[in-house]
Amino acid sequence: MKRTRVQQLSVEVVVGFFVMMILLALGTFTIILSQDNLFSTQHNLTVVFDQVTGLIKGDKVYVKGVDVGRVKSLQVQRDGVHALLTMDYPVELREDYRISVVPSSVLGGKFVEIREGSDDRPPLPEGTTVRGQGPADFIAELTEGVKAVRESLEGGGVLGNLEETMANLKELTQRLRDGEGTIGKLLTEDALYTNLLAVSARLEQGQGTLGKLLSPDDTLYQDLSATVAALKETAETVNRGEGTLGKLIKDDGVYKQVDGLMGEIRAAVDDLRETTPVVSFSSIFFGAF
Amino acid sequence: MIRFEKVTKRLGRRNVLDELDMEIRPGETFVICGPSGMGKSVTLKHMVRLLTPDKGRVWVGDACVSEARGRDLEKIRSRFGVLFQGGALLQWLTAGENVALPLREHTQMSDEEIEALVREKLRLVELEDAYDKAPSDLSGGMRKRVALARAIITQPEIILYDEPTSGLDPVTSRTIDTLIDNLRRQLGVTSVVVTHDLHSALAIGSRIAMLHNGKVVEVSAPDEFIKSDNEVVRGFLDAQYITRRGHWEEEPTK
Amino acid sequence: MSLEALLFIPTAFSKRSRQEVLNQCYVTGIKSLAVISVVAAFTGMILALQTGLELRRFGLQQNIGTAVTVVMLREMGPFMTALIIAASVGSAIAAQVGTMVVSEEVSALEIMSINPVRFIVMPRLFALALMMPLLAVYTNILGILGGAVVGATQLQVSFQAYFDNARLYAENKDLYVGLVKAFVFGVVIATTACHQGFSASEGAVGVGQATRRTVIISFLVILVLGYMLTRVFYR
Ligand SMILES: Nc1ncnc2c1ncn2[C@@H]1O[C@H](COP(=O)(O)OP(=O)(O)OP(=O)(O)O)[C@@H](O)[C@H]1O
Ligand SMILES: [Mg+2]
Repeated sequence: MKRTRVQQLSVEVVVGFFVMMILLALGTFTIILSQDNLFSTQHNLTVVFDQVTGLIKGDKVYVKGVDVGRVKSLQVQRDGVHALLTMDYPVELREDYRISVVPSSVLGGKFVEIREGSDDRPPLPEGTTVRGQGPADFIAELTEGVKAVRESLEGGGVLGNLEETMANLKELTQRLRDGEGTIGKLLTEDALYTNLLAVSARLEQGQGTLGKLLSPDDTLYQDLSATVAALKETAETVNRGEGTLGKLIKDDGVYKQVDGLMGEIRAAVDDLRETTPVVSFSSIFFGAF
Repeated sequence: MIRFEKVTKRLGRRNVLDELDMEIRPGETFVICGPSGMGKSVTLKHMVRLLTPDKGRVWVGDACVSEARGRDLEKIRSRFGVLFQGGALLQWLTAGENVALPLREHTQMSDEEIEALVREKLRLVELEDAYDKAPSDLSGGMRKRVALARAIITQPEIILYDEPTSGLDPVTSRTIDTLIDNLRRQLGVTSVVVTHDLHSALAIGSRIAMLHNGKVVEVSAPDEFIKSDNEVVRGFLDAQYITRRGHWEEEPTK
Repeated sequence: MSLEALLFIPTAFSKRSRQEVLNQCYVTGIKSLAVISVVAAFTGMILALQTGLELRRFGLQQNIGTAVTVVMLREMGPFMTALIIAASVGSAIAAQVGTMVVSEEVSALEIMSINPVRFIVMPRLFALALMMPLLAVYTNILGILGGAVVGATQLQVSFQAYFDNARLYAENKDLYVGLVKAFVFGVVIATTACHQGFSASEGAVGVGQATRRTVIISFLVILVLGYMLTRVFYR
């Protein structure tokens, strides 16, 4: 390839220009990526957490819901994790301040939330270690709750109790109908009724304590009768498997449904757990290519 | 000046050079001819150690090229100018830059001095106006002449020409012949010329060697060469209509 | 051979070599800009679109800023640049050097006591080693911009959000490790191309073979070395 002097000169100029431009861009890049905002004053705050559960360098810092800065560094020391926060905003912590790590979504990601405290409390004295609370782990909580519900249902808890109660109730009504026991006889046998009438007649005459108790009208009897009828009705309904409670007892479908639901929730939680690493992006891209 | 001692070189599946013995004397123009593919270029390459003999030795003066290395080899090579068969000009440099290359690389001369010298040599090969042209814009013959200018620019004491006139028109061929002869006469340059063209071989050669089957089958001065009884030599001469009596007077008018 | 060429790097700035070095820089750097621009922009756009669509299922598409930037800086920038340069400049070098060997130009240099390594390999090695990182920066910029455009037009991620997100997780380490890779790739391409060129056998067939081998070997070495460098820097 032959070049005249002028062409050679332009080669030099073009190459030089290109190199300069790229170096300039590289410099700009470096400054941008070094995360420091050169044009505004930064306020630093070191907060000591017992643990931060996955808070990482570069996470956001919020004050009153406003993004004011970043987590600049995290250092694990004996007394906890020292997080250095840099902010565009000077926080003034009061005694009842509260600094916590908050999960930003179910899939992970955290931010630091700072509540400065109420104005009527005295400001934090200079030089005190600022302590922060670790995050409430959303997924951990959810799993915990699900586990509790599940245990109470499965391990002879609520469901078992309910079943037992119903059985008792059923037996009771059965006995009542069969005329067993005092109340049963009261309900079924004429003799007793007659006796009772006689007794009551005597009582009427004797005007004893009981007599007084049993006023001449048959209110008590009526009441008792009505109650028993209602009870019987209930027991029958339950026996026929009608109504929620009935179904709950008669049908194991509900139990199965609850059990299935538990399984699903568990799978969902597992899914969530598994999807979290997807947020560490590279896996997606290389899947994409 | 240059001596081959039982040089054997195997290339591909056959011995291209087979115990070749040959001596080139200082100040002479030694012509090597022979059929195509017989190892003429291979012989030349042994003189500058572009190829190393399998057996035997090659001497340049009292230095053994075939065993020299490093700076010694460079020193020996610097005594040579080589015109390659295809020219071997660097494609991305202009003709002028190609010719200037040895000076640029090995001397402290200023650009102006170099340019003056380059133009002078290009004028010798009648190509002064090719100075700024790229090798790809030149014809094969023109490239060869530029390469010749490059071979002689460092004023070497030995110049190797691999077919300097093939592909050139007769008039330019004679110009090149004259140039080679002048270099010998005026500067006492030792030349080794490989050629098929017996007309120019007889015109410029001090001695002519015939290479056949890896051996020199005939070495003699032009006068004896045309009278040779060697079969190969005769075949070569006959093919170019050269008779025993004299070559240029009696070309047949067919 | 490459090591020998490295010994000659200081001569890159001498008067007699400077022009050739500059020419090679021009050929590798400037002449490849057009194709690199297209490839870089589309790499970024594809990255943004693919990851964006995937992330949108979780409502996290604003994270494409980080996705595109980190992947461009760490892998795709140097990698894509290297592939293009290997296929265009590397193969051209192999063809050129191969032709020089076959047409005895290299022999001619040897006779003139001009070290072919210094004269042919060094300028190309120097140019590739210098231009590759610079081109990778260029690829990175275009790729990230391409991703931003796709984000704004296809995924409802504003430029502001895109770049904020990119700044959040991308580090200088990503940028410079990528540039180290690009540099290594440049050396690999130049070395492979020159080596193949110098070992080209007679004729046009030999030159063609040298060219083909250059591209294949460069690609393989770039892939494997790319992986190993990633392993070294991010474990
Ligand atoms: N590098 C090589 N590898 C293998 N064989 C070779 C090599 N160089 C030359 N040869 C073989 O050596 C023989 C002699 O080659 P050379 O080039 O010396 O021939 P030549 O006499 O110069 O012919 P021409 O007049 O056509 O130039 C040829 O048969 C060629 O095939
Ligand atoms: Mg030959």
